[in-house]
Amino acid sequence: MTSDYLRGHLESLLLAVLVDQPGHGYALVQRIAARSGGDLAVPEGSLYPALQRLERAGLVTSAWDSDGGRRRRVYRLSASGERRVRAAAREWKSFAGAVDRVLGGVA
Amino acid sequence: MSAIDDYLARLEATLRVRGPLRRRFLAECREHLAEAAELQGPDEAVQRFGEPAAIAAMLDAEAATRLTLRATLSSVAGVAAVALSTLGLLTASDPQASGVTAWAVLFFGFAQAAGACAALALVQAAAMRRTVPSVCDLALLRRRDLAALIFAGLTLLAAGGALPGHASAGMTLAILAGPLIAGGALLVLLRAGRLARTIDGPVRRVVRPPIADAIAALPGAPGRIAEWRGSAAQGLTLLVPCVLLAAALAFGWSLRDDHGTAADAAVAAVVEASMVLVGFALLGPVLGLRGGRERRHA
Repeated sequence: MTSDYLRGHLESLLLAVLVDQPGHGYALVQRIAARSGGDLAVPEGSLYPALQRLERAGLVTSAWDSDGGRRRRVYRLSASGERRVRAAAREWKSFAGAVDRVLGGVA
Repeated sequence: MSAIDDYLARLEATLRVRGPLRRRFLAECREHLAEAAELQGPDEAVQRFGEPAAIAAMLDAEAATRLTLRATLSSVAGVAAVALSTLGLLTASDPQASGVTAWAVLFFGFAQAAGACAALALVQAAAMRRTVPSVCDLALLRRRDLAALIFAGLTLLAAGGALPGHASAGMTLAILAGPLIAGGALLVLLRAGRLARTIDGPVRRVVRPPIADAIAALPGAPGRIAEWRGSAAQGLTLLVPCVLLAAALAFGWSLRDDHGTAADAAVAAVVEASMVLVGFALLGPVLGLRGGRERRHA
């Protein structure tokens, strides 16, 4: 799927893959790819500015962590991030359902 | 030089932001690319990471937003510091000196304009804290910050003109501290403007009613506030000057004990209300309170 489609949803996708467990940037890319069956391919570098925006908004927190000799910045969902992702999921379901009712009827 | 080193060098050369944000971003990118290269090879890792110029522009945009929000806090602190300097100046004025009416009117006008601009900027910054603001919104916030600082400086000047006097050396230093802090805020504001100019996008004047911003800044504000703001903007745009006008009239009238007669208080209320109307008419488009005339290009 093109990155144009994803541009407005990247933040929500990042919050969604942080719901179950914290993770560093590369792990988040892998989670998005795995959950979407490889259909959602974002330019991986765009993740980091998006994570900075989420952190500024107080939706995630982050800290450096060392694991197996690698120093990684690990991101965690905050309480307001959790509320936001649940609201985004509700809005998306409503929007996608409405679009599907219109487009789904086209042969 | 490896493909990853070459990529990082290009990314670093394109980035405009400096400081901790840049260092942290580059460190994360290096770690990401190293980990990806182990699984996919360096060329594939670099290709998946995206165009360096596009990625750098995204971080610069975020850095410009952060710096503009910080500039707002600095500007509000600068306005508060100048307000304290003005109080010091008034305290140090000659008790026998009689105020010059024109300077006094300007003093009240400038002081209220400085306060209003600082409040507008603060409310807008609070609303923008949780969003990805557009280039136009950032430009508006910087204009509000700049207007607040300029009016604060003019207030101090008008206070000096209205009530002359001699301050002690200590008081003079204290009075000068306010403008110095405001000067520091101006520098932060200029830096934010320089960084924001690197963001792509058309810069046009926008209208942001402060009441909508105040609602958006509340915790748990509805997610669709932006849509609501767009539809209600016209009504709120009219509401703001009406509320200000009523407040101005009430303020002028509340001072009737100081003015002696009800007629004098009524004159003061009318002068106060007129200043609000003139301020709204002149500064409204610049401060995003109402739409201005479209510029026509030949």
